[in-house]
Amino acid sequence: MAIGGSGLRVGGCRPMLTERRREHLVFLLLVLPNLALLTVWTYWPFLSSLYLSLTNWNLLRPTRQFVGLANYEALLASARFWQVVANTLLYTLGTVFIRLALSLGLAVLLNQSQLVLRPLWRLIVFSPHVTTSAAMALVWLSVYDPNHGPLEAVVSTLGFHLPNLMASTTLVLPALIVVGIWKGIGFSTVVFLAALQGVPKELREAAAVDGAGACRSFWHVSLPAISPVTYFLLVTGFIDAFQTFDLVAVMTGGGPANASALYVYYLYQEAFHYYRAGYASAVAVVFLLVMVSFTWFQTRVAQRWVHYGEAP
Amino acid sequence: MTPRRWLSGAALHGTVLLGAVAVGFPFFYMLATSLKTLAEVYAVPLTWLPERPAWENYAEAWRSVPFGRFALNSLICTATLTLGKFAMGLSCGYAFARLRFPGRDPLFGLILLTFMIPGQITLIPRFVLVNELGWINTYAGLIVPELASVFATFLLREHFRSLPQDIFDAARIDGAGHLRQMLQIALPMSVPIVTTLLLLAAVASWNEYLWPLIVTNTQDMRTLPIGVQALKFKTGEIPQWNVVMAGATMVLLPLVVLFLAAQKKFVEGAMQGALKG
Repeated sequence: MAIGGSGLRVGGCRPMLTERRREHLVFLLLVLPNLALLTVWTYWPFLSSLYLSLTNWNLLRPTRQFVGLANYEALLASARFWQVVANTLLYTLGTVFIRLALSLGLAVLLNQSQLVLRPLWRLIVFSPHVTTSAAMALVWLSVYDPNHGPLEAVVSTLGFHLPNLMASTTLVLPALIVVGIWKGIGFSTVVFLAALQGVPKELREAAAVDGAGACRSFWHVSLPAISPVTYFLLVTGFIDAFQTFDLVAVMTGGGPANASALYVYYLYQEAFHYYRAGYASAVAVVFLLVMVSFTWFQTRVAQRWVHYGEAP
Repeated sequence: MTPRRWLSGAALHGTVLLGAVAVGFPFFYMLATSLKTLAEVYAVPLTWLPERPAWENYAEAWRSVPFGRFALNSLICTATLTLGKFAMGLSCGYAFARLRFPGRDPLFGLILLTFMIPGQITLIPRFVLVNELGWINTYAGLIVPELASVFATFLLREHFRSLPQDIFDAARIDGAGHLRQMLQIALPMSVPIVTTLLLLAAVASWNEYLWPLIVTNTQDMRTLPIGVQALKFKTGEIPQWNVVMAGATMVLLPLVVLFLAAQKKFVEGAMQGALKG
């Protein structure tokens, strides 16, 4: 038994051990490239940002000093910072809520059984989602051209004159909001449409039996049934709008007089126009804090009005 | 059909048409302008269509800035990033789904954590690192920092976990190692989701604006979304909108082809994202 057993151990167990080892080795082999990239280009820069925000580093200078929370104090005392925050809030709320309302309306229309050519309409409405923002921003600039643009042509037949939207401190943000709505309306319409098609027919029939008209059935049956999707679009819409950069960079450069500077554009300016790496890092960290607390807040609020399928 | 029903049908189609026209108008205007002469662009009153298509605007856009070079740069970045991210997502997703390793799941949690870190917060240290490596104005600077895959890793892991275990057991008994199981079993069983991932990654890379703007500053290393902006400034006091629009159209062209060829995938991708989310 002893001799035979040891023979078996050599023949039977060692291959099993090496097989497990091999599995570990293959795992590492498969995972390491991605993990290494993430470490160098995400985890480390993340920590580095936290640290840089506590220094007075200027990208053009070789040295930097630890200044504690001075950047954060400067930021909170900066009128420009608060203007940027207000711009971003206005842009985000305007884009997300108007787009949500419009796309829900469109989705309801596209969901009507009498509608012909539905795939064609869906294709057209969805198409802005796939486009290059920076290129479409150029197109929108020419649409907004105050002298020779199509918008001016339409407005002037009504007897008005189109102001130079990109040079107006009051109108520049609404003009950007329109582009933001246009860019994202296809995505939310298609998602709403899919959700509406998924509302169980029995639910609506039951409502009809109970005497609910089309409007009441929509309000009390369809709308609660699609609330998880509404929530999804709300959250992704907010996060997307917070991060808007291309439109501002191409169409306005943040002007006039800072009226269209959105948060990420402000961060970019501070870091890569003025080279204030320390201060800009503080701007970035505040951005992270806002995003994280927003997500937390969203999940808290969502419990109140989002209905997920089965009863709790 | 009752008159009332007919009326509501007409109103429905009218409203939908109006919406489609509003959404489609920028595309129409872009195409129409790209084929106008400069005189037509600045004609008063505005003409909606060119009298005769001025195709030479496209040649002009291609010539007046290094458009071919921009296109080449965009192509190189898009192809490398799309395939690279896919390779990362496939290997990482497979390993986390089907291989054992001590501390595997906490490690995956660490990867998921990056969903919470918006790219903007890492911008400055990334740029500093690229600069220190001497990677400004290089393909390495454009590609390597963006190469890691979180989204594809996450989706493919979910998908690979849902595949039946028996098939993998059978393959192992037939002597297939992990790499062969990944490439010859898991991958062929995931064609739809892989196609969607490739398309989404390609479109995202093609449209990327902020990162290439930061890590390049010479004309010959710009990608299309940035390079095309030069057309606006190239043409002096009054922008030659016809040439600019021709340039914008050419930037969008590969996307249009991709979209028309695989529109179902794009729409499904949007729907899947929502229903999972």
